[in-house]
Amino acid sequence: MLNPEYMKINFKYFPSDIIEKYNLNSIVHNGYIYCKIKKGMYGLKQATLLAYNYLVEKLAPHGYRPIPHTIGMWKHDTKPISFCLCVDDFGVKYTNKNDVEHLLAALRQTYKVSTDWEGKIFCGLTFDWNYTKGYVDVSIPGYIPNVLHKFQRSTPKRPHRSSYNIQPHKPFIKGHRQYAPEPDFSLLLDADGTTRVQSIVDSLLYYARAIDGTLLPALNTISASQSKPTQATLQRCHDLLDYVATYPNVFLRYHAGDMVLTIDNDAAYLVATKARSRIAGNFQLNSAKHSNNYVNGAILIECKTLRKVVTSSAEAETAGIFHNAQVALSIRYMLTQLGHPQPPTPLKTDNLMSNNFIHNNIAQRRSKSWDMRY
Amino acid sequence: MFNPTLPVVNHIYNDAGQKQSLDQLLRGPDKDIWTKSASNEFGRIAQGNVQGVTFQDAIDYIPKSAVPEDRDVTYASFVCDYRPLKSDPYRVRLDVGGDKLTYADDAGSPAASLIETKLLINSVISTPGAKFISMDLKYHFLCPQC
Repeated sequence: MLNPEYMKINFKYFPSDIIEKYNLNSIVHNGYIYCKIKKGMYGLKQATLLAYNYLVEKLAPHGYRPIPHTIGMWKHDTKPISFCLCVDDFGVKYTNKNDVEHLLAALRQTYKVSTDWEGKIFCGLTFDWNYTKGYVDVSIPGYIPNVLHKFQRSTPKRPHRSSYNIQPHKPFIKGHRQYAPEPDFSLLLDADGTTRVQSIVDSLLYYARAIDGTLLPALNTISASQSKPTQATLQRCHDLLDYVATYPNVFLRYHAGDMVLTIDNDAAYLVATKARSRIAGNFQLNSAKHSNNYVNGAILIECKTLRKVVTSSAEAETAGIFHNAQVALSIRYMLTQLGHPQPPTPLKTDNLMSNNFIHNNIAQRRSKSWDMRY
Repeated sequence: MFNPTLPVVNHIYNDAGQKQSLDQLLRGPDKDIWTKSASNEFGRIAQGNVQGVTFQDAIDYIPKSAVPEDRDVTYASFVCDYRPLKSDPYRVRLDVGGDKLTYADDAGSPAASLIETKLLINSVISTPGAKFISMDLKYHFLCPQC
């Protein structure tokens, strides 16, 4: 530690042998012994950072370094081995077993290391590898039953097939106005109810981001009102729990392919309160040739509410493409670092005006705000 | 008060169900056991004790005058535990009061995100001959030198 920290300990806790060995009677001050902290200890704010820096220092002489501009990805200078580091967990990609032995030898000079050669579990995710058939299933077994037990929610009598409480379809009649949903005037929840709503969101958010992206729109809506939740918010939470209870064993399947990043964009105009619109992006890794007869699982699903009020569905769509393209930059970089150089990334949109705006194929009028933002 | 035959892996409680502090344990009927455990902890984080505990040299005992005037001084709290499956079952651990200290920089350590994990496993399954292994470091935060 460059800057030592200081603490004081009540003298009454010190046993006589320690007092004698360190001659503490001579330095006791108002009943306290003062200490200079020189290294990482339990309770220090920077303990994790010190441990991380120490790991970086110890692995550097062996040729392992973090990949610049990534958060937790590492690779070797010359060997074809790369890994993700999540605190003290390593998920390692290798093609030669000797490379793994080299990494293990480097780590075992300093640490005790436990290994799982089947690579079944990492970061709370369970992997079911099928190398010969070229796919891997990712899941979190038992997570949803635990969540349902935690919130004392039993399996619904009737299957709940949507994460949203679907409103009856009203056919659009030409000339009639479409109105935004009515504001939520139901009663505010008390402190316990607020905590319950926030706990449900907290419990399902990692699961949604890791495995089941279909929860994200509902979580997005709930989290917008979770600071002041109402009875309607709680009902949405219970609908969501019923939905995950209906589908408790969701898994993602990733197939072997060319690792070409593709993005599907979409936007929903004026679907949220306060005239907000929502954007979405589905990031997949597909094959360059359109020969796949499968749908690869998404590596990332973006589902966000735009902070600004947009004036048309085309502007919402453009905002979505702009956001997703920004996110794609870092993903393209990481893929390149992992040995998968990327061709130009295809972004798919279903909005003609947005497509023409991006390709500069239309005569623009009154679009200064678009030009400035996107 | 204290039954070492029970596989208790929590804090130490008395017969009335009250959690016992180190101060109470050092004055209680098992004071010899806990005095030895406290000695091991003070020696472990400093430069050893007479019982020859392996030490980390993480702290120095210093006089008050050696503390710079512009530095915050925090407190220490103690966690007492009984861990029957450990080599040292009667455990006292000193915890630094981090909430009273100021750390101006970002104290978080970089950790892999979900997207990085998913990219890696996609890379594994899409690279011919590649395999995946997971590893776990023990006592990562108690590294002896950092």
